[in-house]
Amino acid sequence: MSERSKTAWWPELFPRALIRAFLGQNILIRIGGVLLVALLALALGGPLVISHGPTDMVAMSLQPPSAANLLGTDLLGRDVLARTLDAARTSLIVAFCAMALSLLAGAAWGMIAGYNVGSVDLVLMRVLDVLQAFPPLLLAVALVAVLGTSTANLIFTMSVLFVPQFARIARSATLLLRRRQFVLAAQVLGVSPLRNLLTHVLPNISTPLIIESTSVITAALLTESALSFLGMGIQPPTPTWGGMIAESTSVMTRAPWLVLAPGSATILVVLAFLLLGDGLRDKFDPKVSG
Amino acid sequence: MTEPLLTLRDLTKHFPAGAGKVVQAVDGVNLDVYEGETLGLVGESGCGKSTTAHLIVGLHQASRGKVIFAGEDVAALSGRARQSIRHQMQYIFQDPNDSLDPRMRVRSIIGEGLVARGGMGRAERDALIREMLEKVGLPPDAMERFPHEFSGGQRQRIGIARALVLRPRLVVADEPISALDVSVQSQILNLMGDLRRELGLTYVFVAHNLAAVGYVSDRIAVMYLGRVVEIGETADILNTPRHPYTQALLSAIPDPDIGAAKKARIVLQGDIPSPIDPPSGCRFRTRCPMAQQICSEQVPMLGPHTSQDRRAHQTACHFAGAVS
Repeated sequence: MSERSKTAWWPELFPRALIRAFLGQNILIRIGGVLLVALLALALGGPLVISHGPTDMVAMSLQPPSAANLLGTDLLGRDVLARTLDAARTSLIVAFCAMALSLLAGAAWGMIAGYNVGSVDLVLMRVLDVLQAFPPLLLAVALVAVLGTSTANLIFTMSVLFVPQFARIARSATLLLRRRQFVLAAQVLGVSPLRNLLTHVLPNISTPLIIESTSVITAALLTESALSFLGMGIQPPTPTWGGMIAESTSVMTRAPWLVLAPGSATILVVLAFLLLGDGLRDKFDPKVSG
Repeated sequence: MTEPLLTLRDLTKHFPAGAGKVVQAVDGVNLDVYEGETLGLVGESGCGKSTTAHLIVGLHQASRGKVIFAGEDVAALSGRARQSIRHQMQYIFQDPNDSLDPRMRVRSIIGEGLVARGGMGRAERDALIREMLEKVGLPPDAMERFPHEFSGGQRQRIGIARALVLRPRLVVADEPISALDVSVQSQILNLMGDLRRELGLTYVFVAHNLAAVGYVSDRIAVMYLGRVVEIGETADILNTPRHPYTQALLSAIPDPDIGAAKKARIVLQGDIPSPIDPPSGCRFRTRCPMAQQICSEQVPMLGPHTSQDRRAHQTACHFAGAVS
């Protein structure tokens, strides 16, 4: 990409006000944000720059890193860098979809439970208890085994896994809110319970839910890696970090770059989200920031 | 004005308190509120006055008894009829910092009831909101602002506008001034009085401050531990209280008149008993200076009933005559 075209789109993409707002945030948000944006840029822009596709066999197998293949090649002679970056997109999309689905379902579940204290709440929360009684990975494996391996099923399975976390947060926040006078006021004004939840409760519980979503997305990334490692996630030849590590375990000592590339990519993305989450928590939690 | 606008019959609310016990927050309250009047409901905290206010507008479901509004048993209605009657009863909340959604603009806050009632376009709603803002003494540009941009008194004006924009017949005000600075309390009381005359409202005014209640009310009902112990015209209650509890409450009001003879203060012994296990008979007997045997055996009823006038001064005390 030429220098001229860069200056043309740069100010459009990042308006000065946005940059200034970003620089005003705490250090954790800044580090996490920069890391995340850099990784996203690599994941999205990488395939444009690297000429090899993630499944093209471009060289001899198990070549160490070189100028042609920056991170070497794998057992089948595929470019590890191309595969790692392609996997980043898949992993992030899957993790994000799983997080978004469980956020929607969990928020609704928790709000309904918290608003209807009594038998409804009791039943809804016991269902979550049962769900959480299973070891999460075991539950995921069981669900995938029943549903079959496909990307859609993987997303669904993981979103089921993370519903309880969102639901518990939504419920406890709703419990506090339902006794607030502005929620009572809406009842007196004849606002329906559903409308009351959407207009008053949801906007006022969104902050803890957004913060939680950063930790859920990291959990989803790791779960997806683990499932792919076990062969129950995204199926080859589509590269995923967990799958790449699984393929390489037999030659790990001879070709460590095969494991190091997807491994460190996972760590960096997880770290970025965790830093961002901690930063947001510091920013919005009055007990921490004062 | 022979039929009351609002009637509470044997209204009772018991909250479960675990281990099979119940909190008798409100126990057999009977009240009549007539169109156009202001009924003050006073008592110390925990006496059930706020719960009574919640029961009237349906924020709590009664354990027993009825709320009758304009001749209709509210609990017996359903669907649209109930919704319509709910809109005729509105509520002013105690704490204007808590009663306005911090994430909403004033336009949405005041318009919320209109939207819920439906059948009205945006322009028509805005016109009503603007008119209501003017009535409560706020500038029209307040519509676009958020609650945190206003002072406590202004926020309570927004709360009043929200309740009145629906043109209710009855307004239940739950301690509407106790969260405000003393300097703006009287402004809000005067505003509520002006609006009552202008819009022909009926108020149930809940407060623990007898002086404020005396200032705005036509009649006063005094509550103690979930029951009404005395009710009557404001002047009667303030000048010739018959119930020993009312007498004690009144004697606690500081007298600003320096030259006046010092009145005797009646200091009650002990705390208000637990509503989980209230005293038998008269609930006030454990702190009453004139309690006798009969007080623990018989529940005193509001009386006398000799008069046909339901608005007459009535006291729930076995010795009401002897006291005064």
